[in-house]
Amino acid sequence: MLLEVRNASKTFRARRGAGQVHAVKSANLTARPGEFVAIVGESGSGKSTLARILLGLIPLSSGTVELDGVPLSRMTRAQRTHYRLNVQAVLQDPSGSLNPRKTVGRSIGEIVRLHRIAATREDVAAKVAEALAHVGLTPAEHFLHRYPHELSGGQRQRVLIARAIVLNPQIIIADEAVSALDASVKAGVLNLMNSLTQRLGIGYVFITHDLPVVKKVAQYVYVMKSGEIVEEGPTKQIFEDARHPYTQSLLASALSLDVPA
Amino acid sequence: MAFLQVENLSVHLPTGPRREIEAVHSVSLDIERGDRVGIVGESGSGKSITGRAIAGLLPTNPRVRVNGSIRFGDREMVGAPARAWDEIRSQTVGMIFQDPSTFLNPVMKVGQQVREAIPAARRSGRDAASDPRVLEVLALVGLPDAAQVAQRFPHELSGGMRQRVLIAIAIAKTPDLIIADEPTTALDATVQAKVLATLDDTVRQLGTALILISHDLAVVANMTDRVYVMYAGRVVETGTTRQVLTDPRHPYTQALLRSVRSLTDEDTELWSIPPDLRREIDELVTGGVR
Repeated sequence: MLLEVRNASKTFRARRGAGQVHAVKSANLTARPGEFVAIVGESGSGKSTLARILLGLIPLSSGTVELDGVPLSRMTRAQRTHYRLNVQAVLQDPSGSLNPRKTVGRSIGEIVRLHRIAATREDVAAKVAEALAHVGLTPAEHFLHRYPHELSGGQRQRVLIARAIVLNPQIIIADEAVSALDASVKAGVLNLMNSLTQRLGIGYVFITHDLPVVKKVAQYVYVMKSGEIVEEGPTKQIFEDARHPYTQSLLASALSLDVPA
Repeated sequence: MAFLQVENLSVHLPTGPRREIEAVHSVSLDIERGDRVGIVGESGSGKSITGRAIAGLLPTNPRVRVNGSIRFGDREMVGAPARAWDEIRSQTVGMIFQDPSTFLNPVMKVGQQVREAIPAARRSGRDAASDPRVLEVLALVGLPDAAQVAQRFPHELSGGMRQRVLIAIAIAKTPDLIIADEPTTALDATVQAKVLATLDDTVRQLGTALILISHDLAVVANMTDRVYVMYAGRVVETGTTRQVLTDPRHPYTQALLRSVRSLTDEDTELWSIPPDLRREIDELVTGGVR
């Protein structure tokens, strides 16, 4: 499976006046199962717009999003369902992505039913329990009947990941999925994401402004600035031999734990 | 006499009609003039509530209970009337929050908001744009073309500029202490570096004491000389920033540092505090009572 963005641009009308905002300018990006790809950049660089483009959530101004060579815009109904199943999202704010009035079990279960992964009550419950086990929320009975506000931030983020992987996706688009978490919880969720690659072969497009995390987990990095991908390459190359001045300034501004003398 | 002495501070917050939590439990801090002190901890550790208590900015709910002692010099503030707190906040303590957009008035020009923070006796000029003191503090926090910025509304400024305006408002009254609660958490890395440098320069120049509250150990490492580590509402470890970060004594601080370093160090595996260790730490810190 191959998810590709080709020459994609997205222009928004400016809020006032007739001006235009070029949120993404002729971007090219490739993602595949088993691979950890990161998009880094600062706020306003267009990285979240690119994420929404990958998810097919906003129409493009020009260019295409293709899954295995088939553009989103020309997909048949069946192909579109296939795409929807295989490319999932985990977004930043778990409290904003979970319905506060639905229990964990219901939030995940209704997706299982909607996509007809399982039909009977028992099968759905088994699927949900399996997904919760994958993200380390065990025993499942402990969490099925809880509401989002009864969970910690890290647990909510795990529920979102469980909800994404219950459909057996090949690629997960994670937009600032760990940015709001404490260090220990962040390490836990990243570990989980890594282990899902090993166990289920999931690939990630990981959108973040957190450079140390990228260095730690990503294999390939795209650097965005003002809507453009200004640099891309294997993680090692980007961190050790950044070419673009913007990438260099990003790397230089990361603080270290060492106490200055 | 210490400039600020907090002794056995406890804060109870209501969480439901009949429920409350002890967000801060028996916390003691000593701050001297010009000190640069960090308070670190995870979300829910009580670090922000401690900071707000010191500035007298806890919710005004009769069920919020503050016990212990907060003394500025010989002035006891726990149980002090609102007017006494107003005085402390207008002269002694300035506060900087994470999110400048909720703190700034969206329909008032930035210069006017800075001017309001300056004691009336030291204001001059017809309005904010012609008040040299307003322009002086705006320039001090590194805003180019202060006269221009003074005429802008908050939404016309970038996030980094708004955060600088907050610093300007905090220092406009030349306070003895600035409490900065996650001042750069919402900012991009390159902007964060600049805003921290500004804050650093400003408190150094004015000799202002700084309490920096953050979950980000790297920020605290770069900005403070001493640090308090909080967990479950308690201070579990304190010492010089260098000592705590290089040779932590408390099991929680050790675990926290291990997980932070696992996110940045190349040759270590990602490490999060395992549940059984967390239970042990809970037990150790709270004595099993929470």
